[in-house]
Amino acid sequence: MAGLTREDVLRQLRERIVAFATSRGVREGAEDVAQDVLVVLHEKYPHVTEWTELVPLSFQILRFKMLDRHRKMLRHGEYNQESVDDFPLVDPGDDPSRQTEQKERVTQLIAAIQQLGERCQTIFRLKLEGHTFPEIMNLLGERSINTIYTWDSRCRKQLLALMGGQWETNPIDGNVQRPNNKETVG
Amino acid sequence: MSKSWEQILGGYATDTLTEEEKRQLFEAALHDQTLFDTLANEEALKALLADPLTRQRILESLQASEISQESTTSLPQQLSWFCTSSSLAWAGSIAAMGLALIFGWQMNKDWGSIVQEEQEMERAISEDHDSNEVEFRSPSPTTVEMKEQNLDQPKKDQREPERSAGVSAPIPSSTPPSIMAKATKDSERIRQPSGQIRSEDLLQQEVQKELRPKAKKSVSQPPESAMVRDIPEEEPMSAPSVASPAEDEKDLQQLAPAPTFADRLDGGDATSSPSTRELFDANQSTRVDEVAEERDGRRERKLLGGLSSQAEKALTAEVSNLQKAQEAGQVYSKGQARGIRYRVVQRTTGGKDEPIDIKSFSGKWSELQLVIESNVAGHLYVLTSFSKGKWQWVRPESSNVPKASDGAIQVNPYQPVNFALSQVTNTLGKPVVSSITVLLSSTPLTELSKWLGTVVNSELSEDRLVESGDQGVFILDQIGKSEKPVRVEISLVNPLVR
Repeated sequence: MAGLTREDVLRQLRERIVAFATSRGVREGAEDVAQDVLVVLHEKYPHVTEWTELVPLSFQILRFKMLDRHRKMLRHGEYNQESVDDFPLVDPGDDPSRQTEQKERVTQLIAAIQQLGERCQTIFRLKLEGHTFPEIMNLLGERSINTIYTWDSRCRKQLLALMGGQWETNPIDGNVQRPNNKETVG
Repeated sequence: MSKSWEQILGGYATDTLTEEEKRQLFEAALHDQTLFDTLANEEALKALLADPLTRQRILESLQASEISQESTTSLPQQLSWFCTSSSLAWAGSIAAMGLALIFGWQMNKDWGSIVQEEQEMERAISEDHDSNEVEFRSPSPTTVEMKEQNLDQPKKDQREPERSAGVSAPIPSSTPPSIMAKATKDSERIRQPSGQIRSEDLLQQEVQKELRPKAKKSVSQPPESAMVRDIPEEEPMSAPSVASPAEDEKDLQQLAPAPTFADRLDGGDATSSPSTRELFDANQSTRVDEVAEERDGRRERKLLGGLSSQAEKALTAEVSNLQKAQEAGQVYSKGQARGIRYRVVQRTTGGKDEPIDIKSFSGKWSELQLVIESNVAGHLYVLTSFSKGKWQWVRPESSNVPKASDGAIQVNPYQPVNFALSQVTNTLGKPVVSSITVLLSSTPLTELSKWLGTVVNSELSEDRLVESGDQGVFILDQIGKSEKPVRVEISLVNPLVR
């Protein structure tokens, strides 16, 4: 990877983003999502040339773009086929619903963590405190880093299962929960 | 997606991957669509945990959870243990056994000595009664001799087997046989605690000495059948019971030179000789004094009880013999014989050491202890070889035992040192070494390996006395070899001294 240029990395990222968006149900707009991500990288982050920084940055932009698309589809009634007039105007400031959603998600995450085993809780706490896996290995008195990797992988899977298999209420994979529209329908 | 990448995914959301881990993960994500998708999904959690307030909130909840877990896990575990019925049953049975043991021990402590004294009193009274009957009935000479032998017979039976064996052992011509026999008996008395010396010994000897002249006067030739009926064929006719007083006096005058060890062994049959134990314990002058006092007290009591003048003379001669025998024992003991006594014991719940016959012991050796004592002060080296040529110290049980700079234990005369055999046993309680080597030296051994490596000649020579019995195994080396250590190899396979 040492010989890859920024253009090479962006080209590969485009392929991955298109495939990701397609797999998440964004059939027609997958190319658009990828294009939007690359535009942001090109316009706002031209100074980021290292691919080790470009890749995580692209994940963040991709997530925002997918959420934006989801909100647009929701507003346009693509899920419910409802009248746009029934929805309030978009607040350009902080989205209170997003804030509430995030608070609920944190509460749900804390509840899920409480259900984990003692070892998983310890590993999660150490990770939140900023310890790397080698440091955790030393702190737990283990001799093999693979032991810590295995424990953490199991804990992550367990936590994900307790969270319902997804980290977000309105996931970017398109399998969204339909909002309660009884009032509007009625 | 490779399983190895999946394992480090957990560090992506918390942003705790090392630079190398990040580089490898993102490089793989560019080529692996599944990993790319997974990382894209993890982005939601990463965004959630990127908020410092959220991170702090989760951390606080985790710390609170850990504290509550610590406080709740300890108490319920203890309570749950008490709630199980089997645990309660076990606890109850153990408590009952403990109470029974304490009660038994207390009873034995309070009443054991009294009961023992009463039994000894009864025994002494009954034998006094028997001997008085013999004395005042004026029986016929034949009957007297038979009774005399009958008196000897229970005496032999009641005492240790080696005592009768000692009488039967041939005694070399250089040593007066009667003196050796008397020294044997008296030294045996010296060895025993004063409380254990039985009254019938002196009493029977006095009766025998008093009756012997009568019998000789009245019967010139006693019936042969009656005389030899109860005497074993190998028993010499010069045994003390049939020796005349004149011969005794003559023998006393010839007492001065001590017999050599080889003479005492008489053909190497050392195990049958009781003299090893006597010589080993002969240094204990305090015991000699105790026995002397006991003897004087008994003599006074017998005199008060109305002994005849002949019996009194016999008693005086007996006392004289005893004193000379003590002197003989002390001659042997004053630095001339160095020895080791060892025994294997098992510590009971009451803290007492119960002797164990390891030939027939089938339990766990790890619960046993080896007790070693020397009859002289010196340096005790106790080692064992776990592998060929590699020797290891066997540590004493008590840490207060004084040790020399070379690792030897500095022992005083008759100071028992306990060694836990658990040092040389495996998890099944079986010994993992074939033997334990003991070296006793008056001075520190500069070349320890020289004495450990090979069997010393003195171990195999006739100058060594060995005796094993209930009191343990006694090993004595001859006089004048102080520059050589006493070397004893205690076999844990076959408990015989090599």
